[in-house]
Amino acid sequence: MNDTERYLRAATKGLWGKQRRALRAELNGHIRVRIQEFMLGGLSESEAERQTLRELGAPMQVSRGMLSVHTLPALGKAGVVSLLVATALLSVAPKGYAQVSSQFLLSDDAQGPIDATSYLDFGQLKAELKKVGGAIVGPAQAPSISLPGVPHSPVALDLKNSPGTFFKREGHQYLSTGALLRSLFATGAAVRLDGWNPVRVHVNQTVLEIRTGGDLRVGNALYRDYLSMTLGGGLPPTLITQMDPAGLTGLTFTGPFHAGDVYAMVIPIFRSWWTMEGGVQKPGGSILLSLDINVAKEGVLTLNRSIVADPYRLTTSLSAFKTALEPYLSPTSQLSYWDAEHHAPMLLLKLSSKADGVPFTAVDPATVRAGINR
Amino acid sequence: MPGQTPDSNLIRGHLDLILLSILHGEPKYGLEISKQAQERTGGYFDLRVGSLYPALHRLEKARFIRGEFQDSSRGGSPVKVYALTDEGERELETRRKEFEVFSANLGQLWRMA
Repeated sequence: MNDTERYLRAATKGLWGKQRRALRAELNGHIRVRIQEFMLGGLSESEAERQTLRELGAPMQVSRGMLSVHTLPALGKAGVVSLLVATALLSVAPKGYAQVSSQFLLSDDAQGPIDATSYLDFGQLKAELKKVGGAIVGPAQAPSISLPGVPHSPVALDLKNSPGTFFKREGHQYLSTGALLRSLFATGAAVRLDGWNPVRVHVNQTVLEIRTGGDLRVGNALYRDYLSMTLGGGLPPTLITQMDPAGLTGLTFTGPFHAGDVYAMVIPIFRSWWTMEGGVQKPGGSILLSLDINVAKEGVLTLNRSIVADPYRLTTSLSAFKTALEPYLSPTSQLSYWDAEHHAPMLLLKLSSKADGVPFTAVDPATVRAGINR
Repeated sequence: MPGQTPDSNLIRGHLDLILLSILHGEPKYGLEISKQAQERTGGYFDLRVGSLYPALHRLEKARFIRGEFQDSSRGGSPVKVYALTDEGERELETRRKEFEVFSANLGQLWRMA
């Protein structure tokens, strides 16, 4: 595969059929014309191609932008799951690992791009589970998952409770990674996540390796669901996760961060709206949580600046975070933005994959320094 | 203003207006649009492909512009050429006026300071 082909694949990742072909042809036209121009300027064909692709920038930027453009209008067509599929990859699995590919989709039940989530090929999951001594059992309309060495097995896969968790498309069946995680938690085993590509789901001694094909949205969806299930009650719903490995819009923290470890910043964000009551506009709103996740470099962690609340202060533990957040969750709280008197409480967590330990620990705010790098 | 580039949030906030303005007149394809943005502003507007194409598709979906594939003047692969629709012309006019009013009022605040 040449560099242009690689670019086109990455830039159109997540789109289906006609839309994918059209965007691909459009970008290809752009690239070919630009290569011609550089060649007329005296560059060789390969130099011209390199220069063109450098000029185009990261293909992920294009595919991300297309997410919001090409998904919303497809909402509401009952029974059809639309668009946004990352190319799936499956390579040879190391022994003892169940290794499945993932795809990122927006189902028709979703309310917008933030509801899009990642999916596994269900047939592949079944086959891979056998390698680790597990299985999908029971009737096709009500399947259960069985795993070795867990307190409860088999447990029913929760397919009907939430919309968009299971669907068929082009001869394949897809299961949302969130539904799989819920079922794994239901086994009563310690469930842990680590890694980014692939994301490894540890269930006691079993490792389910989810290949993301380099699509950050898959990792985001997995960690969002995992953390929502791990953080426990007493918190507002989790809205989004976002990570930016290149640190393009980054807020950089320095501190005791270990290269390769996954960290999550829990950020409360205001969502406000107006309603009409008897012809009068009334303000309303609530706080939702945003999880900003990234893999650290040694001593450095970069998070997406655009969703970090400002001003903020880091809290020392999950319970301190909940306590600090509580006054703002009250229906009588009139606050709709953070200010000098009301700093957003935030919590920085280091995630752990060790089944015999806690799933996360709070990073001590005293050891962390923040600075905007871009 | 050569040598100076706007904040990326400013570009993002006005991208539709910028694109509609460039497409006013002759139809153009993506690469031409990005070049014109640079050439006509002395390099001030540098539209990145990552935001340009999603924005063009959004405007097409909103029916402010219409795109169709045509053979490029240099031969080879076809390019997708965009033109303003009547609705797009009206939208451009509305947004242009809104921006002028906004900008004039902001100017008032600076004068009073």
